[in-house]
Amino acid sequence: MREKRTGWFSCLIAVLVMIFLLAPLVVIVIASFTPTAVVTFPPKGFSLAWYANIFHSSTHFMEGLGNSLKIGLLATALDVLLGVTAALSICRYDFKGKNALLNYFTSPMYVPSVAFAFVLLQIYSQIGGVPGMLRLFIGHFVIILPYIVRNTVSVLHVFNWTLEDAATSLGANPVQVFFKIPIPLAKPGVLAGALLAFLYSFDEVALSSLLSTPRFITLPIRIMNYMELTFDPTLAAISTLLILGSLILIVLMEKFIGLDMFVK
Amino acid sequence: MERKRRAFLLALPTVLALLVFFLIPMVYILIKTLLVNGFADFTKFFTDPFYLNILWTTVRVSLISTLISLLLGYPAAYFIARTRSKLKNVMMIVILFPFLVSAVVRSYGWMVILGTNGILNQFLQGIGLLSQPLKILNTEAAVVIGMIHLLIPYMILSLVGVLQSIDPNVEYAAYSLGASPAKTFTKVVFPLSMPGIISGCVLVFTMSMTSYVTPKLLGGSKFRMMATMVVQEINVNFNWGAASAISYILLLTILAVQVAVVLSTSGYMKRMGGGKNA
Amino acid sequence: MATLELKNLTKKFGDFTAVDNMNISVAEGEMIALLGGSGCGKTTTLRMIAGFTEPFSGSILVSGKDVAKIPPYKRNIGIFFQNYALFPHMTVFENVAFGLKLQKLPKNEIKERVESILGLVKLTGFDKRYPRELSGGQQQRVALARALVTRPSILLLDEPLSNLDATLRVEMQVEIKRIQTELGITTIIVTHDHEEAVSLADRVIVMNAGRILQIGSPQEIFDRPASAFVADFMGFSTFIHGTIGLPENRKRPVVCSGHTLFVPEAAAAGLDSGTPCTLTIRSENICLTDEPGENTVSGVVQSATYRGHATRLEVKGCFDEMVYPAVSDYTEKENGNHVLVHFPANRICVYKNTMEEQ
Repeated sequence: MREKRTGWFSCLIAVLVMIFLLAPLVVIVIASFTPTAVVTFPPKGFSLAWYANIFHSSTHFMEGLGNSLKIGLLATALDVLLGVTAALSICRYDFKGKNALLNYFTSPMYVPSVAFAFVLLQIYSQIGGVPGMLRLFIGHFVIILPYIVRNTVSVLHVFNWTLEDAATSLGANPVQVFFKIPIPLAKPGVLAGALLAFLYSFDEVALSSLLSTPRFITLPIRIMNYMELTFDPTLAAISTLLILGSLILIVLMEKFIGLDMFVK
Repeated sequence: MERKRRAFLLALPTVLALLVFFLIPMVYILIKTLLVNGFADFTKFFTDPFYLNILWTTVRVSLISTLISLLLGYPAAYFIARTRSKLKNVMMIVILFPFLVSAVVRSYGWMVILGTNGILNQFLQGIGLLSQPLKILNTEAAVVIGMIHLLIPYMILSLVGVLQSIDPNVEYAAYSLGASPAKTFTKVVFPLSMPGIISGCVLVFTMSMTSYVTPKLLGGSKFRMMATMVVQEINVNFNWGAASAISYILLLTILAVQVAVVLSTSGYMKRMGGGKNA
Repeated sequence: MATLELKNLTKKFGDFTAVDNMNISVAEGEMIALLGGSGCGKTTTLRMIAGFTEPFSGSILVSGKDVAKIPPYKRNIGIFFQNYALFPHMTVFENVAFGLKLQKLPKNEIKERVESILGLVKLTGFDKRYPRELSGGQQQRVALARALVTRPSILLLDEPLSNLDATLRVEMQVEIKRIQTELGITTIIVTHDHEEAVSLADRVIVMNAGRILQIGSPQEIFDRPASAFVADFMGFSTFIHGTIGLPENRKRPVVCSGHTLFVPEAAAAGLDSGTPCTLTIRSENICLTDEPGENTVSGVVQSATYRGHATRLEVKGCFDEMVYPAVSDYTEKENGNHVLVHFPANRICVYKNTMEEQ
């Protein structure tokens, strides 16, 4: 017989919370297929017209997607390098001020992105002529760095450093040890952190809306701009594609690194 | 020491990058603002009811969102942490999934549901419960709903982490000593999960305080919170002085909350064993 | 195979001397145990031999050659780590093959050697498992196989049995001894458990505060500890304080709490008459008797604990100190019983009291 460890009350609330969390996403997906401009339930018919509309150049969604991917991937790539070395320096060596250093590395997390964005905006206006992509890139790489540092540290701080001695005693030189022991073992944390960081950058609005120039606008800003002018199911269609993207990511994550990485 | 030197070298690029692109700009602009405008904008903020009202709205929405997230999130997290059914993995995915979806998209979903011609109103009018559509979108209620939707995953994840680390045997121990399920919860489980509650609440509260997308999309043009006000001052009113004051006040409020929480709980965390879950 | 020599080996951490001028020489194929409590310097010694930490002064010679300049990954020393330190992201096969792959051996030779060593530690068929899928005893044997498969010149074992339950300990003791003898590999085992040291090693080195207190065969260390400290560490529990007298009939009297115990003259060599000293004797060498006689004192049983193979008594009233006889046959002595306790003279060890004991 199985032990009963949870009551009906917690089960009920859990199910309600799940419904609450999924409801808007389900609504969006269904809405994306309505033929009418005003979303009705149940939908009157089925249409893919709004999906076709996404690719219409007047929406600028594809261009925005390209910009968002560029910024997100570049910032994440740089931060994997910066974040992993930073996490290693904290976890591998014992020294005074470790905690202070960790707080320093994660400090951008405690600053409202809108405040940081405004600071950058003032700096840029003082310097002048900073290109649109660089304006966003600097902001993004700073605000997403803490995610990679934190996730990597959370793996490395339970890391058993004797493993390095073990590898050394078996004939691995320091470089071999580095690539065979801490790197593969920290991988799940780094991957989870990189994924969160990338998504944060990809979805970021406050900073981008202050710093983007008319020539370089990211997808979320494009969607918000579109929303202000037209409130039609094209929004549902692009949203559905983004939801699909997240769904694919989470399935991949579950498969390759497991979801416990996110339970802090 | 060789080790210290290596640690230093490893940390150096990141230290410098943050220094140049984050710390120095933050401090430089603060000093510059104070030198140019003095405390005039700060004084104006704290004397003008318009601004004070925005601060109060922001705090109010954040507090309500945090409280409801905790009340709903705790039982849900408890269930996820303790259930042995296959539902656990499904639920983890359901929680993480919206977490990975853009706030713009999630707010848009609520706009479709809560709008005047939205699904909720269509439904309520359809079954004859309402004759006039209910105005939810572009109210504070819509912002709170959107905020909870946005942030409850953070709450649940930090609670699940702590609840999972509590040995179920301590609960059985309490039962064996004659504690009722309610007593066991209030005297054992709840105090042990305090680190998760605190970190979850701080996280949800600060994220809510600084949120931009949700109040902008669900609150409408007349609803203002601190972050949306900063953007409005810059893009609409062209009042950079006010924008500076608001953003630094927002920053200080958040830091003050964090520091207060750390100070008031550090003793407790130490006794709980180094606060490893904090 | 190799010999190992430590010459004036010293290690300091700041002001703290962890290992103080240590001299040991280990013969080819010999198994030596470094025995001591935590902080005695045994693990630091191990780490210096492995090359993980550099000596402050002194030298380490393997087969007569100083290894100071050789980095740890080229020393070819097999190490068994206390918590096994198995690579969690590699299978049993990959763990064991790790060192061989680094030597760039051909694939089929690696496979052959891994299989044969897994056979030696009785883990054939476990090669595809991950460490977390193994029991403690199995993990331990993987760790042993991994340390041995590269055919190291010296094997270092750090607390090899400390994480195992009682049955498994005995099994693994036999196993380690068997494998070590079979391969004839020079081995150093570090442990805080005197039974482990005595049952595994050819020679035992007892350490405290970075210094060697005694080097000897397991028998010597077990029966004739060099000091009261070593005796305490080796599991002696009865310690009686007294004052030694002049020799008579090749024996010397020791007056302890008014009673006189005789000890062999040889055991008390070098002690002047009137010297305060400490006597100690193993519990299982103390016996109960019915007749009064030499070295026999009466006392009252305070408690009796049945321990399976023996009953351990706590007897009060013989001396100021408690005595703890372990009686091998089943005894019906109960609390409060008066008993006559006999201390066989040739089993008593005598130590001059050191400063702090006086």
